[in-house]
Parts: sequence; structure tokens; C-alpha cells
Amino acid sequence: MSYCVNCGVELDATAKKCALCDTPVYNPLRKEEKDVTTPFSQTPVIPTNIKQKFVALIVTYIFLIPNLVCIFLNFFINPENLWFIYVLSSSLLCWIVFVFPFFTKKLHPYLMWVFDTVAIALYVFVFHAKNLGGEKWYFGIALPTIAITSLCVVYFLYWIRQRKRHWTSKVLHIFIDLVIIFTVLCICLYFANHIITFDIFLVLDACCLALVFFWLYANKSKKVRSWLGKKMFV
Amino acid sequence: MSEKKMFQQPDWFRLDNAGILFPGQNTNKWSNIFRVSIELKEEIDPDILKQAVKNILPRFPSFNVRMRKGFFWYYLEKNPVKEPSVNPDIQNPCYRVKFKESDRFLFRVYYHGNHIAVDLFHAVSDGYGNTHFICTLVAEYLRLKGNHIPAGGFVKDINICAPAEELSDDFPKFAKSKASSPITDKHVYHAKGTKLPKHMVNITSGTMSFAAIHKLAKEKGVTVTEFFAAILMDIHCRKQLREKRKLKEVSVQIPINLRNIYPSETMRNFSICLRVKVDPKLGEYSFDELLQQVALQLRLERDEKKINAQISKHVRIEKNPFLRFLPLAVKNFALGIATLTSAEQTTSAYLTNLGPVVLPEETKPFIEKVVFIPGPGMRTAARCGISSFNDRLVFSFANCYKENDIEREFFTTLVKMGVHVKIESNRE
Repeated sequence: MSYCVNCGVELDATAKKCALCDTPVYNPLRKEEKDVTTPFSQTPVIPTNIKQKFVALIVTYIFLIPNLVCIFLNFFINPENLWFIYVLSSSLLCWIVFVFPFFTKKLHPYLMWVFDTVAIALYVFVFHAKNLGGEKWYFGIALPTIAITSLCVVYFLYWIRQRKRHWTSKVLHIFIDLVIIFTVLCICLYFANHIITFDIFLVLDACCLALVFFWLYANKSKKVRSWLGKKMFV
Repeated sequence: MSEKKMFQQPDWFRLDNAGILFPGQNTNKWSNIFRVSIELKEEIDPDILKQAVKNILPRFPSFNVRMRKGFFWYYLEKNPVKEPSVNPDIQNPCYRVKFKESDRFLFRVYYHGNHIAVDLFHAVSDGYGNTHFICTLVAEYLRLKGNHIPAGGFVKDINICAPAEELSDDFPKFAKSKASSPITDKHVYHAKGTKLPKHMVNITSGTMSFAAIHKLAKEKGVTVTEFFAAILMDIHCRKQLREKRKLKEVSVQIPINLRNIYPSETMRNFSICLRVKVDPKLGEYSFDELLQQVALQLRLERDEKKINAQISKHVRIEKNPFLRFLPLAVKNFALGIATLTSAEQTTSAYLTNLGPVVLPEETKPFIEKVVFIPGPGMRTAARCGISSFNDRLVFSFANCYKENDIEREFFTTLVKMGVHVKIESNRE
């Protein structure tokens, strides 16, 4: 019989290492036995489930049928107006949001969210850009709103996946959110032919970015963190 | 031997009050399934084992069933398959149940080396029922090997038919209280770690002397269950302090066998979970203080009137006309969401004690030990089962995380107290 030198427990005769602390078993007196049965079987059974990809493929075909029918009908009914694009864009949005994730083996929340954002932006462009004030409305209001919301969600996802959250990380989080909002606003306002002057947002963005670097450092450094804790307790 | 009578098993019956929850909660990721296994002193012969299962199954009408869907509820129907399959054991016991697999039986019989194991879906029965099933199976196996094994203790007489009492749902029978006990509780601390791949579980069993543990518990003036619960609580409290997370309550859930309180013969579910907890915000508890807390709380919670109020509340929920007429799909959807968001949120650790397994004297030369393994949890790292036979007590952990620091701390605590522990695990 072998004992773990680390834990003090007796180990099974077949054990090569301690099940509690992984310390290897070294017992020169132990005889090598070939037909010894381990206390537990070493063959796992991983049950087979319904293949997600197969179901997703069927749903994709179901999505395809009305779209193909609409494209075909568009040649005969009101051919000067490309109305099939509305059906196609709606289907594409639904497919990317609800079906596409099932084609991936492991769900990547960030990547999925990027796809979703692009799909939403395209959908809004196709469906509403022409009806609600044209491209200026789209690039000036719709796209910035979608981009800001999306980036905030991405950062929120990142933040929620972090295990340890010190109060300095919460402050850092606020400033990163602000940087995202101001940067996107600056870019969009610049491209939207200066509806509103973007200079003020550029200054705000630079200030927030500087603060982000400070809080990033504060978040990493134990010394700064304890100093801040000492000086700024409420 | 008395003449074998024809057994009249009902074609279908309702799930019991505790069992109605489990099919709705059953998902690909998590099933409420647990294992009782018996280690013999000689290698298992699968053909004889298969015959033994076939022989004893008519004696257990509550096991000889398959799960069916009604419009409003699930129900159990007599399984037309006569021979359940017997398979070589697997590394990941208690993996999820699918009602259409295993010839639609809700239990699975395994063998490996010297041991026989039965994994059972909790909707069918509890640990008490499963222990009766496996003990009767082992006794029949030994009989087919040419030994004389009488019925007695956990071994049922397979030559008589099961009395009606064994099939009854005893929750409504004893639920008399008009009081309503609150079900809601605070979310508590959970030890976190790296999740194992789907369907996998880490099992670590420690075999020790029952007399040594009993002596230690007696010295402290507590029972064996209270003693182990206090150790688990101590480990979780100290782990939480080390992790420097926001302090939350630490609670240990302990199911109790209601057959010890009410005169019941049922082979179906008849147990209820009690919870003991401490709040680390109040200060650091020493081990002796934790022992006192656990013992006092558990004894207060074991009050028959309080338990009856809890049972009555559950029975009232089941009998609520609005819930009864809600279609099964809606019930399942609601239950699925509730399980996903709140399952095990009020439990840091789970500890279930099967108690001493009493078997006829004639079986003792053939049996080494009895092991009770609860199924893996969704969030709880420490799901523990205790079983004892003769002087051998086996304490098993089913852990859904890769890290095994709780197991290590638990067994090394016992070693430091002077208890000899032998470890077995399914880890590679």
C-alpha cells in the first residue's frame, strides 16, 4: 500500500499519483501487476445529442425558400421596384441573430455580437435609410446610435466576464465607456458633414482617454490602489 | 420458499410530489441522477448479473417504468421491456438521462471489476429506494452464484409481490399542516473553478472506519452527519475568506429520510431537504462554534411540525388548480428557466447520508463496502454522499469543477484528526 507524502492519505494500489494533490507515487516495493482493476472505469461515455448543425441547416433552407420565391416573383410583379430586398434583409437579420450561432462549435460572444451589429446596421440601412431622411439620417443618427450601443455592450460583456472587480476597475469601466461614446460620436459627426461640430467631443475624448490610462495603471498597481483607498475613502 | 404470486402492477401512475420537478429540470447539461454501488470481494459475472436484474425487477414496480408525457403532467408507465441491459462501468457516472435511452428504463446497471452500480433518476425514487434495489440485486446475484441469502434489512423478498404501500406517494398522505413555510432564501457562497467538459464529473471517495468517525463525533456531542457538515462549512468559510470576495452566507443542504419520522413503507421519493447556514459577516467561526451551529440548527429544523409545513406547502403547490391546468410545455419552460437561474443558488454544499446499510449476516462475507455518489451539480463543487456498511464508511465527492481543493482539505482535515483515509478517484 502507498501513502501520499503530501496529504497523508492511503492511495489505491493502482494509483500513479495522489488523487488529491497530484503528487506522483513512488513505491519501490510495489510490484507491477498487469491485470489490476482500477477502482473506477477509465472509459468515459459522452452521449450523442441532436446535431445542432443539422437543425441549423434545415432552418437555413426554410429561410431560403421564401427569399428565392420573392426574388423570382420580383421579375413579374412590380419589377422596377426591388421590393425583394426587404424580405431578404429581414431574413438575413433573423438568420444571423438566431441561426448562425448554431453553426459554430464554441460560442464566441464578442464575435457573435460583431456579426449581429453589422447585420442590424445593414438592415436599418436597407429598410429605413431611404424612407427616413436618406443617408444623412443614417450616418448622422442611426449608425452612431447602433455603434455606441454595440461597443458599450461589448465592453459590458468583457466587464461582466471579469472575476475580480475592484472599485478602481469600476471607475476604469466608466471612463472606457465614455471614451467609446466620444470616439464614435467624433468619427460619425466628422463623416456626417459636420451637422454638429465634433471638436468639443474630441477634447472630451482625449481627457477621458488620459484618465483611462491613469485608472488602468491604478487598477494594476497594488501600491497605487492602496494609496487611492487610503486617500479617497468615503 | 413461499410460492411466487402473480404481481399486478398498475399500468401507469403519477409522479410523486418530489418527483414532479425532476423531468422538467432534466436537460442535456444536468440531470438529477445519483448512484449507489456495492463492492464485492470477487469479480462480477455480467451474465449472472443480467439474470439477477431480470429476476428482481418485478418486485420493484416503481423501478419497472418508463417516463411518458401527458398533456398536463409527466407520468410513469409500466415498461414492456423485460430485460434491462447491464453494461460495463463508465468513467463519468451519473451523466444525463434521456427518457428514450436505456430501453426507456430510468435506471442504469453497471459492473466493473468487483463492483455493481445502479444509477437512478431521482424522479423514480430516493437513496433509500435505490439502496433497497441494489441490495436486493446483490443478494439475488449471490443466490444465483449458489449461496444461501435470506431476505432482511435492505434485501427485499422477491418471492412476494410488492405491497401497495411501496407504490404510494406519501407526501399528500402526511401533509396535514395549515402553516406555510417560506421557500425563498438568500443566494449563498459557491466555490468556483474551471468547469469540466460536458457530461464529465470528478468523483473522489474516501474510505474510513465508521467507529473512528463515530467516536470523534461523539466526543464533540454531535452526530456523524452534523460532524461532516461542520467540516464542509468550515472549509467553505475559510475558502471564502481567502478568496477575498464579497462575503455571503455559507449553507449546507442535508436531505433527511422522512420514513424515520412518518410510518411509511414507500419505495418512491419520501425525503426532504433541510438547510443549515452561517453568516461569515458576523465574524470568523471556529470549528467548535460551527459544530454547535450546525447541530443546533439541524435539530431545530428537524421539528416534525416544521417539516410538515414544508411538505404541506409543496403538496398545496402541486394541487393548485391554476398550475394543474397549465399545459406541460408551459410548466417545463417555466421550470427550465427557474432551474437555469436559481438552481443551487441557496446551497454552498450538499451532504446526504444514506446511513448504515443493514444486510443479512449471510451477505457480509461477500461484501466489501457500499458507496453512495450524488450526481454532479450545476454550481456546487461539493456534492457529497455518505454510506456505511459494517465498519466501513465511504465519503464521496461529486465535483463538476477541475479543482479539487475542497476534497483535499476535507480528507486532510480527517487525517489530522487521526482518521485513516483511503482515497479512490476516477481522475486520470
